[in-house]
Amino acid sequence: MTHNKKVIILEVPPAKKWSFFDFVYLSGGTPIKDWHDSLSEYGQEVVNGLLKTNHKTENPINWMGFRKYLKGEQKGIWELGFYAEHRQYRLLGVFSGEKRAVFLMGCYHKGGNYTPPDAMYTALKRKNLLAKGECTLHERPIKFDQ
Amino acid sequence: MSDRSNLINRLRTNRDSRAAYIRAKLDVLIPSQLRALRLRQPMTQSVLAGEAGMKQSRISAMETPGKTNFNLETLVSLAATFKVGLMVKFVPFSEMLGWENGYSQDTFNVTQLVHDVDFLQPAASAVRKRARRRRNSSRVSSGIRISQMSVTMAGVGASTYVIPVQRERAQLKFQFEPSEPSPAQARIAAVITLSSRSRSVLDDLPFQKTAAAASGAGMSYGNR
Repeated sequence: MTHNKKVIILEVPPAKKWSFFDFVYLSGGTPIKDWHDSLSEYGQEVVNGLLKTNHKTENPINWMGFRKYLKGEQKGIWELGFYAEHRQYRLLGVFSGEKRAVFLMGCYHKGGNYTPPDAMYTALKRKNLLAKGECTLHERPIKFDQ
Repeated sequence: MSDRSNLINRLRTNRDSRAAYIRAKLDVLIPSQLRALRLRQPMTQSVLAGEAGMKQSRISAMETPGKTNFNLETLVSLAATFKVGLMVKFVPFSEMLGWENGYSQDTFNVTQLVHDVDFLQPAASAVRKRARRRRNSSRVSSGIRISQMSVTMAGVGASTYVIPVQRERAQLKFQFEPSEPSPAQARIAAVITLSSRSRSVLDDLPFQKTAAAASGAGMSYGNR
């Protein structure tokens, strides 16, 4: 929109940011929260830092620690990886809805193996429950400490 | 006790908590900055590794949160490869947190040395800055204070939107998010809330006075 005296710039509205959700069983079990609570203070801060950075990053491929499974029955599942106390941690998740990421499973990862060993199997089961609507989601708050 | 109170309590009393808090932020933000700079070039990890004299696996590790304990020499080497500077400074927690909260990997950018006019031609840069300041001050001398703008789109249900407005240099900037956009039919009427100090400069505005509805300490003006 222009005018003879001044120019008014119509800016593109800022893109919607990502939000992150924890998988919660219908029975009330909160596996992601329990896993998160079991992390050290440093580990919890790193997870929060990852979410704080990633929620503003438009393309998940550029998320810190992001790796996506592209083949087989794991297709669609991705993981957020980070190190804490010399351990490799993984948060397995899927996308569900517009700019919504759902965490299904938290685990360790070493030498190609997950701990617990059935982490991927559990994530797949939860993915199916999510697809059938047989779970609830709790939004994971990003702490800005303000 | 709230999460924040707990955190503050821990940070005040426990050195290890403070260290964990600082380290966690650096372990995410340094890898994120490295990735942002690399993607902005754009470079693959292999190309960056080649230019920095490192292995690709090391670049990959450095871009993984928490995997690498960075030392200054590594950061200096990477800054030199990216042709940017590096600052390591001690700051208050509030400043550290403010920087982290405002950080976005998508928008993070650092002017490379070859484009850094302030560094390469400081004298010319100073002249340009002075000229820009003069130009802006002559335009902005009006002292307009615009706090919000409401826009009515006639013909599309007469929806009214109240929008925060920033006056930046000599241009008005605002965001316009009509819920039912119909640009061909829409007639936009804008109402700007001005402070009482700004009345002397109304001639300079692209709006004609249409209503004198008082709004707070200011007056409203609109255009057709």
